[in-house]
Amino acid sequence: MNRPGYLILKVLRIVVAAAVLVLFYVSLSLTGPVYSGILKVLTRLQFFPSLINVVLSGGGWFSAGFLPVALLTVLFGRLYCSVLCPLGIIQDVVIFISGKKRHRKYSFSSSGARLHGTIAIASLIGLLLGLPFLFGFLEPYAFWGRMYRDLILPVSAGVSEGAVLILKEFDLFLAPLPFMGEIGAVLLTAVSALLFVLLTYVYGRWFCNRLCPTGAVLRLLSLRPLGGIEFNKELCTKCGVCAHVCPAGCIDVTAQCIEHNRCVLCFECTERCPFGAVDFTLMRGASKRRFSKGRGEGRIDPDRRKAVMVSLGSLGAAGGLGLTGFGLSALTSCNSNYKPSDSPLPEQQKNTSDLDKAGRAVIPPGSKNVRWYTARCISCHTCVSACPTHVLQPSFFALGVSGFLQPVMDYKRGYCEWECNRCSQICPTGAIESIALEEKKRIQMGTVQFDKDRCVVFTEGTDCGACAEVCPSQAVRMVPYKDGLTQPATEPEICSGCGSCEYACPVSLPKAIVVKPHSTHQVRSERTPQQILPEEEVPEEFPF
Amino acid sequence: MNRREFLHAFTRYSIAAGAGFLLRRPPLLYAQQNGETYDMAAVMGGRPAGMFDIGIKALGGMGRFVKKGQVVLIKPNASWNVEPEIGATTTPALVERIVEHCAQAGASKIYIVDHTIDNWKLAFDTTRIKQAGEQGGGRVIPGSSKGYFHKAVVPGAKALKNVMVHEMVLEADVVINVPVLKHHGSTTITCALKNLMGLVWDRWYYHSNDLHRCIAEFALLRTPTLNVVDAHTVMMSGGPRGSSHRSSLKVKKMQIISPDIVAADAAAAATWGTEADKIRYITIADELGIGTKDLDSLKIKRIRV
Repeated sequence: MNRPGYLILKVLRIVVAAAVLVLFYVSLSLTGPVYSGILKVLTRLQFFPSLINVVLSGGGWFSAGFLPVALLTVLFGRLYCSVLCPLGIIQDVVIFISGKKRHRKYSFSSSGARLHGTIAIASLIGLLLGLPFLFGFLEPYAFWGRMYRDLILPVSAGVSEGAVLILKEFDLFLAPLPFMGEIGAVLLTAVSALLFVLLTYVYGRWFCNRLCPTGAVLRLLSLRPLGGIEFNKELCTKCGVCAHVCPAGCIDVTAQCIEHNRCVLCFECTERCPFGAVDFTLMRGASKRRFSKGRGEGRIDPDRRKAVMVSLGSLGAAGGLGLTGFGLSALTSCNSNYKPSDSPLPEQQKNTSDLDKAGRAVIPPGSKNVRWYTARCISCHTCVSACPTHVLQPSFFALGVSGFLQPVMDYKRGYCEWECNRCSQICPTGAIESIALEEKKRIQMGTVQFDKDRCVVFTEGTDCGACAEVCPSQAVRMVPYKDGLTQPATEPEICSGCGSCEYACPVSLPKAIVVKPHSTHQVRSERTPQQILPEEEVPEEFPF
Repeated sequence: MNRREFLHAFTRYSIAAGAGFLLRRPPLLYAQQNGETYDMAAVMGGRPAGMFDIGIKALGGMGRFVKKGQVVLIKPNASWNVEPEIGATTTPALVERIVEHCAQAGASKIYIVDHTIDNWKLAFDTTRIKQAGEQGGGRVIPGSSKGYFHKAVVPGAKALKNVMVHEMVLEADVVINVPVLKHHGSTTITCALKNLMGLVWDRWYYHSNDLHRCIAEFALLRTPTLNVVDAHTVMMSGGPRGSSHRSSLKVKKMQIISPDIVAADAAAAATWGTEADKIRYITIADELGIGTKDLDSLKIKRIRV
């Protein structure tokens, strides 16, 4: 309020952050090419998802949004955390509410580098070893993605259900936003989000500087940013207003020093300082001398050292990520006989029994094999939100401990739509590799398995055919049985494992027709499509 | 149930009951241009929209079925996310033309509903039925959102005692059923009676509770005012979804229009190349008195274009 210039910067930050959050909300809630495009751009700018996509999944430079983010951080510090990271933006919302309600004053806190470093290194090592559970649990985009899918989406769905009922009275018929899903995941996210909000409500940006793996890497990159907020010691009276409004707790008034590796450039301090003694400087060259004087007082030296160590550790781990990534991808591509770039060679790539080990759950088209998938999926649940048929659902232990919270195909809730490859298009980390629709149709995620003893046709003696009716590949079809009844016949080689049959099968669990998962996706054989040429056969006479 | 809900439900059911009473049997008093009232029009040799123009005229025009100010529900087959050329869904131009006729007859609102098997939005777009229906002046309203479905008791039913049905089935004054005739893996053919499965919430209930009987019994709840069977391009195998390697299509250039749903199905069965007596749901519907499969007892106008 005291300094209009900084008010503008602060408002600018709020506007950009709000726009990012709104765009995230809209692009996750609505479907269509425009929204998918927006979502793609936004997720490509998320630091770790983009890094994993490029380094581990070989996602190409188009996905390398982490590079401009890193550059931005080296130049100006952690702007990313205040305007691009959805979880950071949510923290600012909580902090705003907390400020209104509690009038709490923040104060300078220790760097927390030991805790932060330990957690960041542990989670990154997990990621390197192909066990991204801790990483995925803490990575801020993944955290936000789960919050959206498990908490925000059900609320939107409920509100839209209500709105639809009201609008109906005005002769407006809309389809409500659908929500369907695993309630266990909702509970887990609710608990973790509640903890997160409470922490933020009381301690400000505690999560960013204690738990967030992205925060840890960005801390290293922003140790000495080119531009940043600096004290003007001539004007400063050490009144402490700046430290009281700093949610990151990174302003040390006694030493008149700002720990840039924790500052997210929210511009609260610069705007509030009554004496204009904290200023944003684009080239910190001049102030550097003052800074080293501050160091001379010996106040922040140990913290800085710790921060350096931690950050170096994290960066080392991130570097290791690259090396392991290449190793891993080489390893997995040797084991995978599905190569999306290859042209289809069904004869050569037919299911070979030694590779065709049964998986525990069907994984989405494009995720290659369980090892590839579980090592790269950070459980952000973006695909779960985007899946139009709700077949993708968070799992708990369906893929083993390493697959905790990762989405799998749940054929009790949906089926994989034949004409859809949305999950592969929007996956931020490339765990579900981007594949064209035609490629997707050739993938075999599993194969059909029919159990005569459970089938309605045999148990009830009535016609059914639900499985064959919905099968898009005709791997299930009805053939004559007896007394004019028809029974399902399966052709597993041409099955895509889409689960339409399992979803449609009307018997209670276990269903009479199920998909047996492949741990490594195969290429399904395809019957040579005949050109369906409608034959003209107009009857001579009316047939009745 | 609060007062508001009660009033709503009351109005809804009264309208449905009233409409059902008034429209179940189209009043025979209605004078035809040529003095004769036909029970069925069968047209052969044209394009779907054009054949409908001719057929409906022979039956006395749309005014016989749709009165001024009435709300019309049109039930096409839009079930699959496939192009209309596959023959798995109703010809979009036919839907458009029917909507136009309803509008000309003075319908106040024309709604197009199908609870598709594939994703509702994708299916209505790919089959081009949304586009066509809206061009004609109709409105496609959600058919796959549970909030639009209400429980209804099916009078006299044995297998389908009650059913979650789309609210338009209960609210609309006129229901026009526009199936496409095609092969079906388990029921041999699918046409008018089976097309109504797209008005219920839980179609899989049918499959596990005597499919044929459920299909027939649904018509006890609400018999369509008019049935328009699209038999222009008929899927002879690989149905109902159609497939790139198992389907065969025959262009029969036919259309069957009748207020009697059982007769429409019986004529459709003959058109496809089987007999009504071989399709169990047709015989059950006939026994239930929903209509008649005995085409000889009907006055049929056969028109060659």
